[in-house]
Amino acid sequence: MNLRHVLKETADGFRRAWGSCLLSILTIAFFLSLLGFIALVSANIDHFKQTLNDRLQLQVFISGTLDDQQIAALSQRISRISGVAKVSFVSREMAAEEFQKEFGRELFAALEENPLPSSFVVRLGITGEDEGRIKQIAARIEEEAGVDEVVYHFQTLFTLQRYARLAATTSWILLLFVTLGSLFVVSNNIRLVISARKQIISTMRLVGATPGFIRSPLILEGTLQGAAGALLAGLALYFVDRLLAQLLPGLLHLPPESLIVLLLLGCFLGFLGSLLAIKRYL
Amino acid sequence: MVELQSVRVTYANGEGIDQITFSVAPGEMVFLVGPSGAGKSTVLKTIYMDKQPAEGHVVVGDYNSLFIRKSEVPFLRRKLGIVFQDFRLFADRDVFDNVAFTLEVIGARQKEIKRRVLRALADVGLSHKARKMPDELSGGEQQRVAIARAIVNEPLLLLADEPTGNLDPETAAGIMDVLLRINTRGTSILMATHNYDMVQRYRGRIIKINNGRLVA
Repeated sequence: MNLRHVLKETADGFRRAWGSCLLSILTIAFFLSLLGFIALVSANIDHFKQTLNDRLQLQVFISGTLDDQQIAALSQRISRISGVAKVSFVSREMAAEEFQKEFGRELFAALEENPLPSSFVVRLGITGEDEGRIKQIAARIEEEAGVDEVVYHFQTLFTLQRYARLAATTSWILLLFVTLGSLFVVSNNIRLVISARKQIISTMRLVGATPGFIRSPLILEGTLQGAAGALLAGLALYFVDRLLAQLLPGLLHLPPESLIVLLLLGCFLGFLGSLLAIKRYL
Repeated sequence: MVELQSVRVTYANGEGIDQITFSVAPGEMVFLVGPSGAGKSTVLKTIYMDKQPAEGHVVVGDYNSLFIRKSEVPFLRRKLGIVFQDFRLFADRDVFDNVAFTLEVIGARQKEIKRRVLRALADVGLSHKARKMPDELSGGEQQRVAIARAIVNEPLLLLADEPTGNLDPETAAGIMDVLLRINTRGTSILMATHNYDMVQRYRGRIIKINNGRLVA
């Protein structure tokens, strides 16, 4: 393979159809930026979800009439419920201590007696993925004799779950569109190059050029278009990332590896697009 | 060196060639003469294996149409030089680069390319126009460039398909002189033409073809 020839023909291909080539690069850049942005949003939702998952617990308030033996028996019954990982008892005194730590002694001292009930803190052995299952466990615990109330604050988590699912679905649909769209624009561009070079290609064949010799500049051109699109997308995502970091501190950033993945994806799409055009039109 | 044995090629419209048998020996000059549509180009196509015979076989050097693999066809064509009536030059390259292209295809080194291209251009009398673009040349000069491109790789056989068809008689005579000079140096030439009067003026074996068959 003559490298000089491949580079020369590739540059020639860009020169001949620079308009459609630029359009192809910009389209790939747009698609990949969109994909990268959704990936960034997904990663942040996942991260936030994980943080909330770590705090996934129910507070079970129990009747003040239960004696130690009944409390121990209730604790055991709750432990045996499927999905419950750990049950910790919080006595009225411990709850009061916790309250004082958070809100100060003065406020507590103003009360004549400790109004706080005993409770169990129930950690769940499941993730927040399953909203229905969490509600089921809470309802099951609430059925136990001696339980006054089960409290949980998972609404944010449940809402996030929905957004995460939406983001994941959107990402997959978008990936499909990105793939099909990029393949279409690249292969269309290479088709134009092939069409413009039809006579040259026919003469190349007559003087003994191998298929590889004819195809390699076209494949390189498609791959470079994908790479250029990915680089532009990477640049756009970098600026969006910086902007978001200023507006919403604490967000996850795009890891540098993701830019490599983006570049590889761009190259792959460009490569595949040109290969499709070659298979079909050459 | 090149041999066609009972070759038949049929196109969808029923036309084609049939029972074509002849050979070209090393250093020989052969004219394939016949009217337009007689099957001359099809005969040449079977030699550079653009068309596979439905019957019979073609042998070019070590390659036989019965056994050649598709991937071997480019290598067979490197042993041939092909010249067409419409020149088929690359309009976006100058004369030097047009001729150099044949050597780029085979991966020759730059130094070697330069040496051989200059020699081929000297053979066709165009050394002084190496940096001209094809559209700056006359028809005869463009055909000389095409001949230089065909001989630069020192082919076993030069196939010329109506090389003078687009040229006036005087320019055509100039092209014939170039071809005969190349032949004198040992390159076999098979030239297809409809101009029977012209080829009679030159030395060389004449094979006549009409309606796809050789005629006595």
